[in-house]
Amino acid sequence: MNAGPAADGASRLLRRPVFWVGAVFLALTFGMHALAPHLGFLFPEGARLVYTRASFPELVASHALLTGAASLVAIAIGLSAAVFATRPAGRDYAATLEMLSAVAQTFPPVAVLALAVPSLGYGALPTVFALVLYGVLPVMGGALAGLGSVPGAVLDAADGAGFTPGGRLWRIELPLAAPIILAGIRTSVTIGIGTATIGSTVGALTLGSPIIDGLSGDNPAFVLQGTVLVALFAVTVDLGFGEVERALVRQPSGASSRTR
Amino acid sequence: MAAARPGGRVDALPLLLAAIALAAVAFGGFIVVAPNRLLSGAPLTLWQAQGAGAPAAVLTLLALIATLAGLRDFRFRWALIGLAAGALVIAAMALAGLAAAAHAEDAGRLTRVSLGAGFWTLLAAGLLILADAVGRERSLPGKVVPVLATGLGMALLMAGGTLSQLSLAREYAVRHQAYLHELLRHLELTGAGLALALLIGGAIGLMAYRRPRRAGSVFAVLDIVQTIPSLALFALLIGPLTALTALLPGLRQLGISGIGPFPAILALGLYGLLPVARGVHAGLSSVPNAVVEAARGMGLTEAQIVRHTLVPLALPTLFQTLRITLVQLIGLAVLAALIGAGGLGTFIFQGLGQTAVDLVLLGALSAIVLALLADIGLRGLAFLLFRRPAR
Amino acid sequence: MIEFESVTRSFGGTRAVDEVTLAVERGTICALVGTSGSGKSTLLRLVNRLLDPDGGRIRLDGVDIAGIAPVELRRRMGYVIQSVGLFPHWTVERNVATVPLLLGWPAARIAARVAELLDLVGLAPDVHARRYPDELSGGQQQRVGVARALAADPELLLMDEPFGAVDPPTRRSLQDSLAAIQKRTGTTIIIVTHDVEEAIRLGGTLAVLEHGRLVQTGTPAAVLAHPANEQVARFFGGPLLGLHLLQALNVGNRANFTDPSQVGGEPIDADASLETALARMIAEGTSRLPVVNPANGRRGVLELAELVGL
Repeated sequence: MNAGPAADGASRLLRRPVFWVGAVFLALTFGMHALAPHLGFLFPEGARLVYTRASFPELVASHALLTGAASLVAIAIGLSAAVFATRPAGRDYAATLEMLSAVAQTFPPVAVLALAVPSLGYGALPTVFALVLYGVLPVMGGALAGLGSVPGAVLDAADGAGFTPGGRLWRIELPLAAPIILAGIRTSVTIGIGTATIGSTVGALTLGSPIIDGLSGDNPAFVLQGTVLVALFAVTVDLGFGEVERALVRQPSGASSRTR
Repeated sequence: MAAARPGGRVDALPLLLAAIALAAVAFGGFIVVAPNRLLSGAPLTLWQAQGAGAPAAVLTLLALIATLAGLRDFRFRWALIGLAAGALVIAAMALAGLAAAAHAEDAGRLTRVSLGAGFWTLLAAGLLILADAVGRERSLPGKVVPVLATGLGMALLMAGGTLSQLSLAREYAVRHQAYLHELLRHLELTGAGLALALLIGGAIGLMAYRRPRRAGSVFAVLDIVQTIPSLALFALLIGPLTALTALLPGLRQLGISGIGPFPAILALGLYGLLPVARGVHAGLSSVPNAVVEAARGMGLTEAQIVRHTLVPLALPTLFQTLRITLVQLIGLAVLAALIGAGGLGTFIFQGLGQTAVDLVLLGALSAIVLALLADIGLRGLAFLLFRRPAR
Repeated sequence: MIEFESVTRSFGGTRAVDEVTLAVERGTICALVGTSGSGKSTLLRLVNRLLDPDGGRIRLDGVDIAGIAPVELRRRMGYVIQSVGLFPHWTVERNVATVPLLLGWPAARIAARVAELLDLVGLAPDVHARRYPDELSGGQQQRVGVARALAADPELLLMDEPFGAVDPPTRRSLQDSLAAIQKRTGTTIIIVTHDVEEAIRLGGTLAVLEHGRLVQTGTPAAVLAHPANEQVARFFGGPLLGLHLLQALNVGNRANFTDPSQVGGEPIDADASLETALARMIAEGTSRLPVVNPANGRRGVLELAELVGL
């Protein structure tokens, strides 16, 4: 590996928005504590300026952990359900799954979160539950659409070539469906970050905590700190997914030299 | 072709759900009796709460579902399973209401009878069997009738007062006035936000259609707005608006302030921009170019082209956009309560603050039902208008 | 050799393939023809067990294919379909290598085989091997499809309207390539087509299907000369059937090699079709053409009256 492509890659990265938004996000995460005392000019009423319940890196870590763990579970469930519904044995259930997901999509996330509290109590648990429940739908929707988008002729050719059912799924269907599946995962994670923010209303520790504490304690400084960070977090993750999608579309199956 | 093989396999899902429902009825707490609204109570199974008759009724319905699921396919078989599932749902609710009435009479005025895990499991199993049956039934009447019958049954139960002794209903009775007020406020917020989104989002969508080269960057910006967590977007508007009213005190007289309905409507409108703009753009773009070309070739003016070809052909998509945006905004308006704008979220967040489960349920279930009604209503309307089920 | 014995397959009450009995000899081309809905594609898909028959038996070299695992069976056969079905996320090279990879051939053998096959179907390996399917023209894609199907030296090549989606000149060139490849490799081919000319150009044997039933088999010339019934006659051109017959017969069948009188002009090959000969007569305004048999150099004459079979 010579230095050429690496340097080239680095300079290309520098030109991507994800790099800059991500850098600002990280800088504010670690610098907010130092920056906060100097924000007095924004809040002439003299509110407390430094959020003390938890440090911002802690909040970010907790937020990311909740969303990440829930997303992994949601992806596993959503993908399995979609794969099942597109196999011969599960095809009968495809209509049911699609309808359930259409119905569930109308449920307000806050309502789902609130409904989880009576059985799961306050804290991270109902948040993870709501995140999983809500995260499954876009993943499943994307995977169903993606697997459904593989042309019948390609499937026919794969069967005719003698792929085993599993081989066809792994080497033909999933790679071809990958961009649409990834778009579903991207939506799911974005919704997850948003829902986790609301999770602080049921006691989960997330970047929503300063917002909720600020709203209930009438402290605009906390609200601002929380909103800016969580917005940057969401946008960074979303842009990051965008980069992965670009790479995926540009280089199918990791082929390095695509002549055009 | 998925022709049913003779002798076909047994449909496993209804059987599995029926088995889960059976277990829930046998072992799960059907109702929970608590001395007052804040203390936790003791769960009672359906048997304990209502004697042998009630479980027998539920058992009969479950046996009916299992039998139908095991039979060979015939016309309207799934519609019948759906009807049986609907009956199961209504029976569960009625039994819960009757049990609540019986136990509320025994004890003091403060006694609260709430719904237990057994009830919720039975209800969920019934609704899932119904959904599965509707998904698999082929004929349209076979799909619609079970859903309508179940909805009608629920409405009759509520109107008839069978459920009035449940803690949820009592919570509602206590707050009758406030509930109507917040419900109306929820609708106002949603309506105003929707109007804002339709107006501006529609204009953006139209612009993106007319100038395709700018469409990419416009949607990129709207995508970012959509990416920002909803709670942050609501809260984000507080600061600037407060600063604005500090600078221009006259605005305050117009009802504009940093907290309250104004920022909520603005946030809802912003959130609706992307779906509306995308929907309008997609709807107009879905009209085949050949049609527009042909219209132009026949000498229609630009305005006539819009009126006679673009709008009628894009209408189903535009209507779908309206439905999706409305449902989304109904859900998001729940958050408005956090910035002092009221709405159904008020009950949810009050309930969460007081650990009053029934209050949370009141707000959350209302929001879900409202969103579902809007979704089903607009889907039905679209079907009547365009004779084609909305996707 | 592939044998169908009273093969039947129904879809929801209709018999798509109805009691078909047919034998295709090793090393020959058999064209399954018929209107759409006649069951010819279904019959083909029964051979590699993409479908299984409701009744009857299909034997491959005497072995009932119902006893062979579908995956194993399919790897022994090539399969080409009209919409090609190239895997869009793989390069041409990888597409062609599909079955050898599935069979676990060593890399060097696969590379050599891919280059050989691309050459065989008329694509330059150094130009096309690294391309993706969407970078090729329709005709090139179909050539890759044929190469992919031939990759593992299949005993049998199944083709379902393989050239239906390409323009006529490309189609003819693909048909010529296929005929040449078949001559070289000796692969048995079963091809489904509703294109009469394609059936005549390629088919060593025609098998005509109608509503799932096999109504006639034979050489193109035999079928066209004596269609079994009204529908078969109509399928092969109705009033224009005679013109198609001219495609099916060649000059050698009708030329006179004993007439000593010589005719001037460029002689026509005895292998050429009568259609070509007629076209030349019209173009040159003559009723006699000189003929040469390229195999033995004998010369003869073709008269218009002989050409039309008087």
